[in-house]
Amino acid sequence: MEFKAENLPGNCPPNDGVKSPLNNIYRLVKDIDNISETDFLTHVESKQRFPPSLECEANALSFFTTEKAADNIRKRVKKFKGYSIVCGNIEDDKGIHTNKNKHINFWLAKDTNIYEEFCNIQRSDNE
Amino acid sequence: MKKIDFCEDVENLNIIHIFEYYDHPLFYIAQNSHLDNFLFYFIDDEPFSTWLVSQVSMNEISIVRNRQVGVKTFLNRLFKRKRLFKIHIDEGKILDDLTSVLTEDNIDSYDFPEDDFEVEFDYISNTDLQKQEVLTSEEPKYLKLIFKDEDNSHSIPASVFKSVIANLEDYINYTTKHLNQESKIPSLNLLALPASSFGAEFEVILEEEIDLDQISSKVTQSLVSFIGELDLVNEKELSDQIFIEERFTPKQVKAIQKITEDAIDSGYDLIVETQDKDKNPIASSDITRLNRGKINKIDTALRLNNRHNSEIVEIDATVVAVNLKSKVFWLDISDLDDKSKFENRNDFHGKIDDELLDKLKDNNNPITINVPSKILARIKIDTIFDFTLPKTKDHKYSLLSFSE
Repeated sequence: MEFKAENLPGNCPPNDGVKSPLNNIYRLVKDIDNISETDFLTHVESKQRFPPSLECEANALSFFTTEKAADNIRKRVKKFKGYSIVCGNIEDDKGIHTNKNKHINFWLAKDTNIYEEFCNIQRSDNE
Repeated sequence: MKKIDFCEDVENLNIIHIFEYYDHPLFYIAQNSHLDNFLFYFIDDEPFSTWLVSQVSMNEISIVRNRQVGVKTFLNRLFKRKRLFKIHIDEGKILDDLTSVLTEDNIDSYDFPEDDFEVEFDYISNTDLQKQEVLTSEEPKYLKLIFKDEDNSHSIPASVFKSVIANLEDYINYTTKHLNQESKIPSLNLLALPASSFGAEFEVILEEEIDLDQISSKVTQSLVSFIGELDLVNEKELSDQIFIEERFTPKQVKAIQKITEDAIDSGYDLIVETQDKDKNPIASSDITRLNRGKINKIDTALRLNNRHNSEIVEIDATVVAVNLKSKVFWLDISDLDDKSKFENRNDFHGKIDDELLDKLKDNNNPITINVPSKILARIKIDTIFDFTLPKTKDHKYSLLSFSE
């Protein structure tokens, strides 16, 4: 599979990454009434710095498998305190993911726009 | 003011644990090449990447990892001890001007988590973190010391015993002050000597009505656990527990070192045991002649934090005496408002710097120093911290130059 991120390091995505559909996964967005592509940029795409040892992970987007796990981040980190939680599905041809402790790292396939995958966005009740 | 020093680029630190992750690590522990550990807790990335940071010991990391403390409680603990910093990072560089230790005046409660959550997962080792309950044992009532020589004899030189008791009293004093500065010092009562190799039972007591924090039990327990834990930690970890975590003070561990040295150097293994009110053993630990290395660990741990600072100051002073032969000067500074750099003394002495000495001795173009005379003196202050010595902080003064 070719990936949206260019120049991924070796062994990235990792060997335990899988290609399978994801249903009801959660992500935080800044303004639920004005969701944009910028809410679905990886750390690398948003030109943030990252520890060199985490270059592979920095090219992945984070999701949670439970709304509670996403809500925990809102409660624990100042940046996300005013954020909203959105829920969506991703089909299996859209990328590779790992799933650890309710946290998903998702490496997008080339020419995939994850924002469009979340068009049918559900507003989270937990706001 | 306390500073945080990573000793290398913050981006080059080696991440050893990640406890919270969303697009990037939000709560993690990183290590520099000296094996110093730093906690990072993400706040925001606008306008700069902003974090709560503290240097922590391996013991503290274990307490967090073993879920024996909530993260909010732990951050608050660091804050109360003035060990929590707020740093801003721009383009990988720390903005020193904006770095500050958190105090009541600049704390923002929104920087902290709302809930006192326990960590669940380590994204570096990919392991679920299990809760390990803190084992609580019965509060000790008595402390027993057993001295065992190769003949298992029933006697000990009085001088050794006297020295052990004196150091034990020092230990009780320092430990009590460390636990609670306001507390009265428990007294050490020697009970009737029981039959054993050479055993001595003590009671560390404070009047019950004023020992609200169970100081006497904690003092007793701490001695046994410290000696026991010496088997489990290396010198660096012990040093961090003393100087970073401040779990023990240098004076406390030096008193324990002396207690154990007294016994070992006189040919005795030392067993320390806590006992309940019925004199049943609760816990015990030992230092034997064969594992004397345990004592050396204390010395090395203290030595790891030895350091040397230099600064140059200009002060108004009166010359009291000068001896060019022995290169010594004496200055009176009783009129100086702030004498803190001179141990709050009214006078001090030091060495005349070699360059100045040459000028004073120069027959062709001599400069003179009159005694007595008022001068503006340029003094170099060398502060030496050696935690293995009785006086851990020492100052040396050099007269670099002066004008009358």
